[in-house]
Amino acid sequence: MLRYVVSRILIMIPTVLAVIIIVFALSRMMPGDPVRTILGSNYTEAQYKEMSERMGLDKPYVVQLGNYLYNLVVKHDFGISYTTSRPVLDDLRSRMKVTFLIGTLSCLLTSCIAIPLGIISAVRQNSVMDYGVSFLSILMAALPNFWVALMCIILFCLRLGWLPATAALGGWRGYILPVVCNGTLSIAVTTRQLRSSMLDVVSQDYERTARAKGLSERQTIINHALKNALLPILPVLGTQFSMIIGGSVVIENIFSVPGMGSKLVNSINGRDYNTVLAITILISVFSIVVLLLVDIVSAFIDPRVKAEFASRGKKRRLPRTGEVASGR
Amino acid sequence: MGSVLEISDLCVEFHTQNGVAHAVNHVDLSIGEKRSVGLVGETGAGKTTTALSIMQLIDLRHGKYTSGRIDFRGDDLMKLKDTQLQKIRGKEISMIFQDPMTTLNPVIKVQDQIAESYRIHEKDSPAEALIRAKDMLEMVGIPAGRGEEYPHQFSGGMKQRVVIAMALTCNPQLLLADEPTTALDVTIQSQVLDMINDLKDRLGTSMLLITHDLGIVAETCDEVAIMYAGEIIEAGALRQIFKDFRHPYTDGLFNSIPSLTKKTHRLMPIPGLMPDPKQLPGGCHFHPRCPHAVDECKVAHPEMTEVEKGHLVRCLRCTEVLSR
Repeated sequence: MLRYVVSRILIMIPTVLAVIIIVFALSRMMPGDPVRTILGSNYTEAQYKEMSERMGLDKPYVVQLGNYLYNLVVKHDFGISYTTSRPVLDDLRSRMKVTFLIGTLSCLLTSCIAIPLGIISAVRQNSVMDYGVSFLSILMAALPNFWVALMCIILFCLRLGWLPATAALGGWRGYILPVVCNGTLSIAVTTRQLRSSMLDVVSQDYERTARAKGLSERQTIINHALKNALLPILPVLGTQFSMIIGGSVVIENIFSVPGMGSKLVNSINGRDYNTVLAITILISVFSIVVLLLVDIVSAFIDPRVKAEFASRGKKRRLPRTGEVASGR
Repeated sequence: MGSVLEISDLCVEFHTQNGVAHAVNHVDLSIGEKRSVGLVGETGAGKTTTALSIMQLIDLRHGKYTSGRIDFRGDDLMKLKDTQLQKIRGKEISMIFQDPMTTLNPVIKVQDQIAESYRIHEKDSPAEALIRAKDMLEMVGIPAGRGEEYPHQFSGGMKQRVVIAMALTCNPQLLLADEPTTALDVTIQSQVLDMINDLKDRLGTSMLLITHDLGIVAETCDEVAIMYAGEIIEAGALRQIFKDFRHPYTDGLFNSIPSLTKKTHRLMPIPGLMPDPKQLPGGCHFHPRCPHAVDECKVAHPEMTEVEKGHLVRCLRCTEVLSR
């Protein structure tokens, strides 16, 4: 099992590297020039040259990438922000917390709502409840979350005046709408997925076996069906979590949340390469880590997957030295 | 000798998109105390549906009991509430299911699956139930230590043993064994059958053995009922059915197994297929395949006729054709 975890972590390294290289290239392809943005409209050729040199932007792309990677890997340094002239990581530290907090809360909300709804609509298949849940989840999946967010602002903030429209104002109450609006799509998707996975499980033979043992309907669902039905849902929740973090860009801008998403938009506008890169890398590393965690957790829950990796580990242990020697 | 289970006039239908399937039609069956009854028939004859009806486990989203009583120790199982049925299932009546590969829950340890029924019925502590589960594993010939493992780590034969152990945990009065050996290879088959027989004798359990294998019936059962198109077409003591069968379908079944004593060049399968339960032929359901059918068979549905004490046949010509 440990081998599996270690090998999965090792696989992460090339993935993250690929992400960095792609994002780095894309940032350099963005129209606009950070040097000009900083210098404004009045500058001499000499000033421009000096500034590019200081920012390291005069060197070839590959050298820039090498420097960036060196600083990142060896010094854990994301560079200096062009707009605030402070280390990027210092700028982002508090914003990171906000974004991940909202993301985690949205994901928790998704689990708390989608899991019971999915179970109920599967167990009471074709009931009014099931049709209601299906209708709502299809609606939620179809509506874009920025529109939902705007409608929520109109209803809860302007009409009813219950909640503040800006997250920064009003303490924790300001975070209710961002968390909910960020989760709507995930709730809808996860509910649908769990419903179908649960429907699949309750018609399995082992459910009939459980009933034949004298278990009540509730016991067969909780003791026998749930664990089987949740297994395929874990990866869904994992992807939803990364999607929520990615989607925070939109929601944070609407509610003026002081998180990474709103910072990302500002940095793109300011051609702040280092900040854009840092945010993108942080979000993608986070997604990769979440997916890894999901895989590890599923392996622990599902004895079949666990056994597969355990035995694979054993088989590999013997020819390992040979593999290294043969250059694998 | 009193009977443990008495089924009378049981009818079960399934509503499908293509119409109503009459899976079980007016079945009467009784199982005596400590007796084994073999229920024999082709695939789709309604054997499993009959067993599931006894357990009251027909999926009511599609299925429907249209008539009948199932008397078990003075109670009509058809009329019991779910909570009462839950006390009977797994404790008084238990079932060995057909396919051991899918019958066990893949994510629960084998010993916990066995202990479960003991835990809910005997209200024992989990630790005691676990000890009982390990005893059951030993009884079916699996080392108790393997209870810690999951179903995928077991071979097919061992899974079937686990299923049997699960069914026998609470010493049921009635065991419904639905093709307990069909999924197994022949060597394991006889082992499993011996084990069921042995356990049955030791625990004094009555049994309904569902199979399409007459050899297994001869080895294990006291009485036999032959099922065709949802009906029992011939029933009687083992000897009566094996030595003095009267129904042309039973005749066909025996002709389609090789005999050691008679010289046969070719087996004689029954021509044609089991009728579609959604469109059962009128008259005798077997007439389209019957070599002895006369015009009357196409219109008149035969009733059960007692040709000898305890030997019932559903055939209009039962006294003429195969009578010896």
